[in-house]
Amino acid sequence: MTAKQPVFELENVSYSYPTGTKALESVNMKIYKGERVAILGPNGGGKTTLLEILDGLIPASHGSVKARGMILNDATINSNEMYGFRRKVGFVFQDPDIELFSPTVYDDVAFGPLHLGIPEEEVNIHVERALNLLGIEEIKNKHPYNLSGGEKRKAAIAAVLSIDPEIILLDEPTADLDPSSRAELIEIINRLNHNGKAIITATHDVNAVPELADRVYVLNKKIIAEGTSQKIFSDFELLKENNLEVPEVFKLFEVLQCFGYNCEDLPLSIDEAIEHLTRAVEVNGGHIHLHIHKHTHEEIGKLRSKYEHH
Amino acid sequence: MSKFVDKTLAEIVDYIKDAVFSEEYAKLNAFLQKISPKVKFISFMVLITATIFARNVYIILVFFSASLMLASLSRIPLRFYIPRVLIFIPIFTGIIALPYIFNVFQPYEGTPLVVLHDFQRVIDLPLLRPFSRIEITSEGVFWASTFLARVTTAVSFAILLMLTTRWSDLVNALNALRFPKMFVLILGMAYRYIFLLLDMVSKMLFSRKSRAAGKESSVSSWKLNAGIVGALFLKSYDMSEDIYLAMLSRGFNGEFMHVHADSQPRRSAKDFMFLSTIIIFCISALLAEVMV
Repeated sequence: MTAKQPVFELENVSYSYPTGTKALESVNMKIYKGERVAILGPNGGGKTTLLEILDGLIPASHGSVKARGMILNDATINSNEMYGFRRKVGFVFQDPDIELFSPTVYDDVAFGPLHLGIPEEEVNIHVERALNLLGIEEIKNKHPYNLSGGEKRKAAIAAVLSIDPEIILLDEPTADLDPSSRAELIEIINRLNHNGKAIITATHDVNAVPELADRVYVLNKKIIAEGTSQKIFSDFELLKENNLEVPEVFKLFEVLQCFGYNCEDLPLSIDEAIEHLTRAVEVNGGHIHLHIHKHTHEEIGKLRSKYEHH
Repeated sequence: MSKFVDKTLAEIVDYIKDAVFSEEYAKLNAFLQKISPKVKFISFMVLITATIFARNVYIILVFFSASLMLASLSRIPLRFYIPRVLIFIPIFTGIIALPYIFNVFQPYEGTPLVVLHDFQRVIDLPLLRPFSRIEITSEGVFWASTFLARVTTAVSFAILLMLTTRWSDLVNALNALRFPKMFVLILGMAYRYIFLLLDMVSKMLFSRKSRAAGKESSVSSWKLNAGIVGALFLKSYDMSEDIYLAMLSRGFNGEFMHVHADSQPRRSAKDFMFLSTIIIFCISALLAEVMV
């Protein structure tokens, strides 16, 4: 993230639905090349609208949206200049049934390259590469209706990856997935980031955020907060006000703290927890010490009441 | 009444699910399944056109038996196939054809078959022919049954084509035959989303069933059904907007492009044999009609 050009620059962006309801209010945001950013917010917080604005699908009502040096407004998003933009920015919709509208998975994955001016003879290479990246070659001739939830999600991502975008916008990618598909998907997304793609994830799945993002924007019509996952998740009141919570791993370590586990920054994901425990064990000469002291019950009680807010 | 609507809807959903979407029979390795989709499409169009031109009910029956024969050659159980052909067609076409068996709706005096009522005087109705008796005429019955047979046979061919061809192959075939791209796109999307919407309908019906106890009056059931239709309309409208955005996001600008998923199997001598047999069969059947 050092001295990189922002790929997205939003200044005072607002959006109102035709009915007059405000979806976004003066949003300021900067996203850099190759970054992993999460847009965390409650249901109805304007996450999808923000992604649609970032993808140049709808114009902002007020404010300026700059994407890869290009200003996105009512006029430009319908112009031919958008072709270049669309080849660099991919948007995976929340509902794979929206993303997969063709008779076969192959047709869907080929849709992007075909319509973005990639020569027909090269389309096949792009399609096969995207299918291969997600490991779904064997379902390419299937009708989307015959796919499982996990396969649908992967096919939807392949449909966007076939254009080889620099920036991928994901709307609730972990929703409706079983645990194993979810883990697989997180790994795939991180691999894409590893290959240099910026990943912008809109989600309310707090457990996925630490695994999918380095930086977090909390969005509830306005940008409520911005910072590292660590910073966002240590502000409990802010999360509570916005119908959000901390990851389960974080909660578990808070419980451990009540039993005398000593640490400052609590881990947010399993990976971080492993790192954390390893360090703690090493520092303490091969073991960690947990015990029940005189405040344990009191602290546990406090912890319970803290999370039983709904 | 509510039961009737429930049953009809559930039946339509089930029918479309297992008949069309399972592609169960399209995956078999039997006679029609092995014919190239393009050739198959043309052949069935020839068969359907010939059926429409046939006027003699016996010739139409010959066509119908041909469809049954093709179905059994393609290992489609007739027990599955015949009800599929006969469930909806007689209902809808029958409603259209039914009035024509009565003399009231015919332009000429016919040969009476059954006299239903004799008024003993001439009744002069506006827009209709004056008549003194209500009767079923033999010409009317013959005309209605020919009509019914013709529609049923044409539909049986269409269903057979659908059952023995994977939809994606059919769409590819239409593309290869240079059908307008927009037409192919709309057809493909209609197929894609009809099921989704039907699935939604059946879920809504289930959710209603799970909460409804006891008997429902017809009126309230109709009201609920109207609600379901309304919800479905809104949902599909919302979806269509989102789908458009998804297409836009991937570069769609009103011009649809398409490639073939797999290079189609090369047309073999067998395909040409099939097509020529179908053409010869149709011509001779129609000629036979003229001669008889």
